[in-house]
Parts: sequence; structure tokens; C-alpha cells
Amino acid sequence: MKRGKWLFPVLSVLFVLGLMIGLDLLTGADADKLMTNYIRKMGFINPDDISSFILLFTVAIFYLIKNRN
Amino acid sequence: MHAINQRSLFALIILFELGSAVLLDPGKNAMQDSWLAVLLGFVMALPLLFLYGGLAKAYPFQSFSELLQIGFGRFIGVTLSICYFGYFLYISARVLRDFDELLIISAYSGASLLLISICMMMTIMYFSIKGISSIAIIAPFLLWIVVIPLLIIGFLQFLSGNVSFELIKPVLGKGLKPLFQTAFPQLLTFPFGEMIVFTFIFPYMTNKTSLLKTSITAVFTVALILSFLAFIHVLVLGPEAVKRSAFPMLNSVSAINISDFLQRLDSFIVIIMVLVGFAKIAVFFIVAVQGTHQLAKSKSMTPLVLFFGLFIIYASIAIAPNYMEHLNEGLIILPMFVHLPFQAGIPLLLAGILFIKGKKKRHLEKSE
Repeated sequence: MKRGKWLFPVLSVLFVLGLMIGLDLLTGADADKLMTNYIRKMGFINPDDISSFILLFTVAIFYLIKNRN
Repeated sequence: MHAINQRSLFALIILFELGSAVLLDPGKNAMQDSWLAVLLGFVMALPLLFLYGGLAKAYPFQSFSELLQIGFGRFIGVTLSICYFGYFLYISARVLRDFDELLIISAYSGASLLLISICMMMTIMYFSIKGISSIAIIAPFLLWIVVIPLLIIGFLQFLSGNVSFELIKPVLGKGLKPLFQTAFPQLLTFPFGEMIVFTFIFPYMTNKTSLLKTSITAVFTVALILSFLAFIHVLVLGPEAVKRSAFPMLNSVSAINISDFLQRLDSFIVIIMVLVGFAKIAVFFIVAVQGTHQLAKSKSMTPLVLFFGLFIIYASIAIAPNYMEHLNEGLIILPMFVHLPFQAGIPLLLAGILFIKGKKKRHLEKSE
């Protein structure tokens, strides 16, 4: 995809993020709670999460190598 | 997208609509009348289904995204299409979280939420690359795997002697008000209004003549199944326990015990739940991916599938700090503020504009 073609997917993702944050604010979330949900929780300190990511990247790399042409 | 036949569409709609609705029992707030609330929700959703079918009949070769551009003009049409694809991605993430939680509660108590999300999403991403026809082809086969065990399990409840007909009484004890409060907007929008996603699939049907009939028959079948299951849940658990339970289906099935021989069927039901959940997430995800792909006019869909797939894994975890908040958000706030505008507001406005534009065009043609 050309760089310009990424505009629509990125806008869709931004819309989802906006929707999620908007709904959280509607349920009474404060800045600290939003920070925990969207950033701190993604710190992956849990060993299970690290193994999940290794699994994901292994499959992704395998797929990319298989379809490199 | 490749062509889809009527049989596949029928099966796909049933699997899709059962999706998380069979798991969560959306009519449970109507207490012992939940089974009636589901049927009322279906009746209230009928005008919406006719609207979606009517649009597909009037514009058989245009998807809803193209109709938005015809009705509202290029800029607003594209903006609304992006919002719709974002909305479908959001629901995918929400349903993915439902099934992650189900699997963690029922079978994989020590597993990470992320690991289960990744495993489910990778399968869906693979299917997405192959297109909607890949899931439509296996839908009739999956339908038998899902519906027959669901009905058998329902009847096993009667055989095991868990049911008490006293729990369903008094029917309409508090009048019609709780019924209407549950049906609107909750049941109208979830699961019946979610049929909006099929307006993006209808143009790819091989035979468009009986499209409306097939869709309404499929949704009616879903309403009957959901109503039957809601009825069973109340008979087994009682209205209060059903309302408190996060997964009434799982609780009621785990109560089955026939002569200490046939028991622990909950693990069996989890497999069925995962199948319907897979169909629901896949339909939302594939439509979002294909729609964005057509809008961006890109050559390959694979980078888009990877981008959206990774984002959904992230969104399914970030969507709520815990499952109770996730449920509250999904069943109380979402129907009124998000589902209604997307499922009823915009399509109604679009139908009105297209009707006026069509009338003007015919008038001009006549005068010429």
C-alpha cells in the first residue's frame, strides 16, 4: 500500500480509540484510570504476555518469510 | 469478495446473530418474561430489517458504503463509511473480549487474556485474507454443529429434572413496561440491529430476489432459539440468578446431571460458543477490512488485515478494566449512544434522502 492509502485505516482506528475513550468518560473514568487502561496495562510485565508476544511474532515472521515473493 | 448463495447467507446470519447473544442472554433484565422480551425485540426490529432489505433491493449492486456516498455526497459519505468500519472494528473487539472472558472463566483460568485474544484473532485474520466467502462456505456446516447441540441441551434440562415451571410465573406479572424497557433499545440493537453489517455483504449475493425473505426467516429462527434458551435459563436458575449471572448459558448447562452419567456439559457448550463467537467477530472484521480496502483502493489486503488484527487484540484488552464494567458499558450505555445512531438513525436518514433523490430524478426524466 502507498503511504496515502493508510489514511482510511488510520482514521478508522482513531475513530475506535475515540469511541472507547468517550464511552469510558461517560462511565465516569478519570485521567488516571484511562492511563491505566490504555498505556500502563500494556506494560506486559506478566510472563504469560511475553510468551504470547513471542508466539505472535514467530507466526508473523513465518508468514512473511513464506510469502516474501 | 466472492458470490454467496442463499443457503450460506441463511446459515451465516443465524451463526452471526446467535454470536454473543446466546452467551449473554440479552433479555435477562425482563426477569421471568425474558423469553417474551426476545420475541418483542424481534417484532420491534422488523422495520429495521425491512429497511436494510429494501435498500439492498432498490440498489442491488451497491454496498452500504457506496449508498452513503450516493446519498450524502463523496466527503460525508466517505467519512460516514470510515465511522461504520470503525464501529465494526469496535464491536469485533467487544465480542472478542466477551469470548476471552468466557474461556478464562470456564476453561483456562490461568491463561493470559492476551494469549487467548491472539489465538482467536490469528484464525480470524487468516480467514479475512481469504474473504467473506470462505466463512460463508463453512457456515451451513457449522450451523448444524451449533444448533442441534443447543436444542438437545435444552431438552436435556427437562430430562435431568432441573426445571421448575413455578419460576416462570407470573407471566407479565409487572405488566408490559419491563418488556418494552428491555426490548428498546437493548434487544432491538443487540442482536437484531447488528444486521446492518449485512448491508455491506448483500451486493455479493448470487441471487438477490429472495434476499429479504432469507434474512427475515434467519433472524426469526434466531429469535425463536434465543427465546427458547431464555425460557430454559429462567426455568433452571430462576429470574434473579439469571440476571446476576455473567454467562447464564454456562450456569444452566453446568446444572445438567442425568444419573451421574451425563454431566459437566459446560465444557461442551464452550466449544459451541467459540464457534458462534468466531462467526460474529469474523463477519464484523472481514466487512471492516474489505470495506476499508475498497475505500483505499489498495492492491493487497494482507497489510490491512495485520494492522486491524493487531489493533483489535489491543482494543479487546483496553476496552474495559474488568468484565463487569465491560458488560455494563455494552448493555446499558452502548445501545442508546452508539448502536441506535449507526443501526437506525443513519440508515433511516439515508433511505429518506435516496427516496427524495430518486423521486426528483424520475420527475426530471418525465419532464424531459
